[in-house]
Amino acid sequence: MHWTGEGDASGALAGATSIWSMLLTYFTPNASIRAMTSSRQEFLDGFRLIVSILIAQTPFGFIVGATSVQKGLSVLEATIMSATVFAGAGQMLALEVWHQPKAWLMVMLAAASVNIRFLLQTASIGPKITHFPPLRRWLSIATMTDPAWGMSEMRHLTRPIRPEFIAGITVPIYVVWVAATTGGAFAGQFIDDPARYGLDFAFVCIFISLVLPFWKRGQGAVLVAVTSGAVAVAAKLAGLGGLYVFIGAIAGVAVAGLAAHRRAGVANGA
Amino acid sequence: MALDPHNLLLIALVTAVTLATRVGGALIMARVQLGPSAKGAFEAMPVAVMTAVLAPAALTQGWPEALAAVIAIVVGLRAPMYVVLITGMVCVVLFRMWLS
Repeated sequence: MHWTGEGDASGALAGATSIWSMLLTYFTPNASIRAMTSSRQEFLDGFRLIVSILIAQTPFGFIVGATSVQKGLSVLEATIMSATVFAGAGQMLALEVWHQPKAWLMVMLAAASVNIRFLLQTASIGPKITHFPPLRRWLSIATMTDPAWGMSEMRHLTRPIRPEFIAGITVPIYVVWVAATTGGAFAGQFIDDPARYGLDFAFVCIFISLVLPFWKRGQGAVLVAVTSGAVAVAAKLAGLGGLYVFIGAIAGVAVAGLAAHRRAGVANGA
Repeated sequence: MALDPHNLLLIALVTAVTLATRVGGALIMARVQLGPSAKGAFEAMPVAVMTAVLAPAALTQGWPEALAAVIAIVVGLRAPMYVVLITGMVCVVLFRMWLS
């Protein structure tokens, strides 16, 4: 579930829809109808911003579903996993270590390590939606995704975020995600040799797609990527088993921490 | 439509951890002031983890996988995920036939 940040296009779209909602409000005489119209408008605003993401999401969900079945989950279990976890990269990574020794610990580490970004996202968005009714606030937080976060941050720059806006993003993503995974799981049952179709390579392609927007952010991210990639390859070649991911990741994170520390030092004139 | 206790347990654990990262941010992290190095380390974590998964899978399996990964990266600089998926999978199947 990634967000590639199509800032210009969505900005223009948000502008166009806000003019539209202003006109609607102006021509709607009754206050309660006006409120209803604006709720609907907020939902549609969110929905319009993520249509392209929904299209990208479908093959991703399909592959995650097919992989789930290859890893020994039933179709029902694959659907349950998508419906409860609702985080593509985390699901994919957890499935990679599904049959390793101490699988219960490995899947938790796998999910925590890629989903830790949610910690920062909801830390930032949480204080901006304190005006939501509690149930809607916590539901928005518990279902946070990269697109919902990115679009909400952008929305917040121009006007207060409304629960319907986040729902307009999250509900379609949720429906498409669960449906695509189920479809993929169903199809995956009939594939007896995944390597023949390059299906075993799909997760490499997915992680390439997920990580490229980060790499493009600049030198800092490239330095982190090169460090963690090189150390992980070395650790794997050294025969460290499933630990190589964590060794590589820790090296990359350490470099990022050091770089941030040095930047802060320079900023303070130290 | 079987439900296996081992699978259900792992699904529950992954769900719990993921939910904790989402709720924990609003609940705890919003009240904690992180230092610059801790913040930098946190922000880098997804990139670091994904690259650490990716690089060995792409580079240590053999030439077909390594070449297909390089092509997928070049394509991915411009194209969306489904194009990267199709290109990468087609390339790896072809390269495996030709190179091994």
